Amino acid sequence: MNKTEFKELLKEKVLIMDGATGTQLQKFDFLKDVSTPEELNIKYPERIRQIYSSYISSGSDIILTNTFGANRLKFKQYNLIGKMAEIINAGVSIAKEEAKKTGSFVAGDISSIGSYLYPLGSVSFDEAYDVFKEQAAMLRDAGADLIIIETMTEIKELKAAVLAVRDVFDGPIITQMTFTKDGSTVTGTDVLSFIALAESLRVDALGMNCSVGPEELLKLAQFAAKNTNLPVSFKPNAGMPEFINRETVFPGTPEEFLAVSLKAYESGINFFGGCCGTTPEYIKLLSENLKNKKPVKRAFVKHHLLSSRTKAVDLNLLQRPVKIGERINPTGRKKFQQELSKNIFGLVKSEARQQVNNGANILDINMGLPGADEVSLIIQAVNEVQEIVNVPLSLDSSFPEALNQACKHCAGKPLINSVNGETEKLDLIMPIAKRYGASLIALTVDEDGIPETWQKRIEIAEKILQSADKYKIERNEVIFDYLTLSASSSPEQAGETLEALRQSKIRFPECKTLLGVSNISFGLPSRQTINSTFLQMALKAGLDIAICNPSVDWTIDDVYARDLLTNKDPNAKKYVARFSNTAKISAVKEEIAISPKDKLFNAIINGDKEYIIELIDEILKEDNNPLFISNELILKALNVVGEKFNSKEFFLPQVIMAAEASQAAFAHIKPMLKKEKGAVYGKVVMATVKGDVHDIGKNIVCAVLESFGFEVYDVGKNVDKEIIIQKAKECDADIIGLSALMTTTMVEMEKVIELKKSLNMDIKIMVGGAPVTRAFAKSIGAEGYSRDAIEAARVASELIKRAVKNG
Amino acid sequence: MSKEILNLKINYDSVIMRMGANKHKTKIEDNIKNSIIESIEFAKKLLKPKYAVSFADKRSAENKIFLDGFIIESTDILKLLEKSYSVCGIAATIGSSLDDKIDLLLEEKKLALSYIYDAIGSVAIEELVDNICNDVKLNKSKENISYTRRFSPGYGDWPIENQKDFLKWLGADKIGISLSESCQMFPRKSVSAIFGMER
Repeated sequence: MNKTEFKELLKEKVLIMDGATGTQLQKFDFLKDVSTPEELNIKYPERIRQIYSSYISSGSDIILTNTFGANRLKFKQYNLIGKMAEIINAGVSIAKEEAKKTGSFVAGDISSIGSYLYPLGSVSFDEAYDVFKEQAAMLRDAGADLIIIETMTEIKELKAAVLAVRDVFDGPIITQMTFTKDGSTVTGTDVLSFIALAESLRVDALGMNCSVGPEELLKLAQFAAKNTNLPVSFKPNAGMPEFINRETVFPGTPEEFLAVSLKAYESGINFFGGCCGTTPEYIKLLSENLKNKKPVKRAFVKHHLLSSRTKAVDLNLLQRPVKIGERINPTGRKKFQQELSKNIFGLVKSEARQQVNNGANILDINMGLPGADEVSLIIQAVNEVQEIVNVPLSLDSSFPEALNQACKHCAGKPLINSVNGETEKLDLIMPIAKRYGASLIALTVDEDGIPETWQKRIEIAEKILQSADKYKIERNEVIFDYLTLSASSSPEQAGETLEALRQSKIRFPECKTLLGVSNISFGLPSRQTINSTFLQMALKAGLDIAICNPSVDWTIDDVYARDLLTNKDPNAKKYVARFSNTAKISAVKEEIAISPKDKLFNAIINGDKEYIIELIDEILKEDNNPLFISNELILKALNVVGEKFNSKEFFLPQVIMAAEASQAAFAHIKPMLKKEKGAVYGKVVMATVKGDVHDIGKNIVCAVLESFGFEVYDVGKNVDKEIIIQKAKECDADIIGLSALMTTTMVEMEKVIELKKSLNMDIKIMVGGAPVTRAFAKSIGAEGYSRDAIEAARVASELIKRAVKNG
Repeated sequence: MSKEILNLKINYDSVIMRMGANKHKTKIEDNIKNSIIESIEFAKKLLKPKYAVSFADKRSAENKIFLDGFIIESTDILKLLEKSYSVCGIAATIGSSLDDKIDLLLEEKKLALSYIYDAIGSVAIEELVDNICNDVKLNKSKENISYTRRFSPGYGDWPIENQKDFLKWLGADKIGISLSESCQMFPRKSVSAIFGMER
């Protein structure tokens, strides 16, 4: 079935899908003797045939193949990768044999790879994409009529899946997410954000499955139906399952299920089926009541959406001007540049928070830093920003690859900033906008540079739209920037820009307009007076969107500025006379002079590791005495941290941060210290004992010990006693530190001590962990015990001192 | 059963207290506070709370408690359930996505953040178990029943090794909880507990 046939079919009638597969397999005990449900396709094909057949005979127009988790990542756990093609092929073939009996369709089923994509999880976008692509190609080769991507909970994973399927499969694609009671997926995506992404990726139908039972899901499906023109599917579970006395209980009944499905039909839904807990009986009822019915016509709101993971905004509805925050940009900002050159995103994040708090509707992200890897920076910035604020992003770069990667990693439908009228540029950027379904800012400049007249700008706009047509991008996705030029150097240009806005609204009413307003005041005093006045004038002329700093006053409308902008103030004489004496409000507070030594001391206490190395170098330049830095600055600062921790002024995260700052400092000065006398800190081997896999506590102790200058060898978690002892021998350790988090595993500590004793090793053992007490430590013969990381550092120091004294 | 059980709020104060903060004494700078608040919001995206409950009438003999095929040998539990006629067992988990994130943060050497996420997970599972208990009690609110406090394997003299049979009795595998040889539960933020009902 091709996309057009699918579309035509859905105009004629609603379609009945199938019911649950998984819970049916459990019910008949069909999962006995297979490692994963998909393995049935080749191991016990008759079992899966029975499920398919039961739905076909109940009236399903579409059945889903038993390939839900047939992907490389999941199959790896079951050693089934080698049989993947065979399993998928059998899953589709058997379904087709059954479907043939009634002329039904077979939907190749794809669901989550089982792990989240970065930054929610550790799987990379490209890895997920490849996994989906492989599965989709196998479904295609096996002859699936369409592909359904279902039970998805994470929007970025959905994006990878749709792109992958689209790249290998020409047939119809249905995509379904699963929602919680509050109307969003577990990862926070609401229905409108889902619609924004699904539409932008040009799926053929969207919908929802499983989730919270039919009643609750109905509201979400109805909302979807009102907000998209795409066919909508509705495949709820039979209520929220409860697990009581070892049984899975679904609270719903087929009759209730039908009643809700009929309501969904009245709301214009196009596909009906069931998820977990539903049976052929449910599907039979749906068929008896809905099969072959013509879909109910529905009205829907035509949006112009941009979206993030958790929020979609409609550019048609936002109050004018829509504000794109411009502050995530290193141009001309030294500290910003310094941070980015070290891969630090502190300012990026704080600018994001601040602009959104001050009313930015969208955030522009520009990582153009000469000499830096812009592609890597923009990917990281996108990942950082979109997880702390929920506004959509405007991805700003002159490098197509940076735009391509940024679009890919964006967890929603972004705006691309920008393309222009140069033919070469159009042919580079348009395909990116097309691939990701992004909206596009188009600058009305071309090969000849900045046009001076509004007529030429409109001409370029027309050219850009023709290119959009060529790439089958809807014209309304293009947003024109009619260029803001400095009013001091080109006083007549403001008028041209404003006229271009007016003309654009007449000629291309479907396209929105945009200006980066701040350029207008370049070289003039009291810039915001001009910026804001210009914005007011532009709004009247038809401006929709402003790229600006949302944190300043945009209500100023000044007569002097107006005269200047309408070219009635030659050389800006009157304006400059009026404003040149206006006191400049300095944004930079005067820094009180603090010595680098004090700065380092404070940086350790505050856990601020970003400038540690520079500070140390600065101090060493004045006084080349690393031992002083170690003993008088770092260790003393840590003592302050310890005191604050003991008095409860600090809690553990602050200790860890201080430890991390100190670790960075020691990493830098240790090589210099080795030559010095009196710099003995001792070596510690740290391990979480065998059987125990919780190791955050041990890691914290490692960090704190290192921060006190100890050489720490972390051998990890769940470690055999032999390996711990071996490592201690190897590095000639002074101390072994052991952690255990369970009463079942703390007995391992004793075994390590026994082994040490049997080998007559001169090494101290200290222990800790939630169930470990001082008394237990003593009873097993440990030389040291500590309750927390700070105490661990003290105990370790004492053990070493004692050893030195005794030695 | 109410669906609100799974809607975990994760209170900021609970998270900082979990990390040892003292409400009156500890001074938390804005940057750390923001980081914790943002981490809570982020972590919420990773929660997949699930639970299973089992009910059984209590029978005790020879210092053992018999619950519909499951046996507990513990004087602490005997004492706890002394007046109980019936028992409710709970298994709950917030899923493994948060564990994965914590491991990822550790790999990236973001120790402070991983610790914060770990604390958030602990608060989340605690809240989930509280919600489940409250819901069980709410459903029986007309029956004039009082309840004992909660108790888990490994507490007191209830041997942790009993966890295996306990989870089996609860059907915890259905919600994705498994047990290591040393009786650690996976996902890590999982809880099993029991409480008694008294008339």
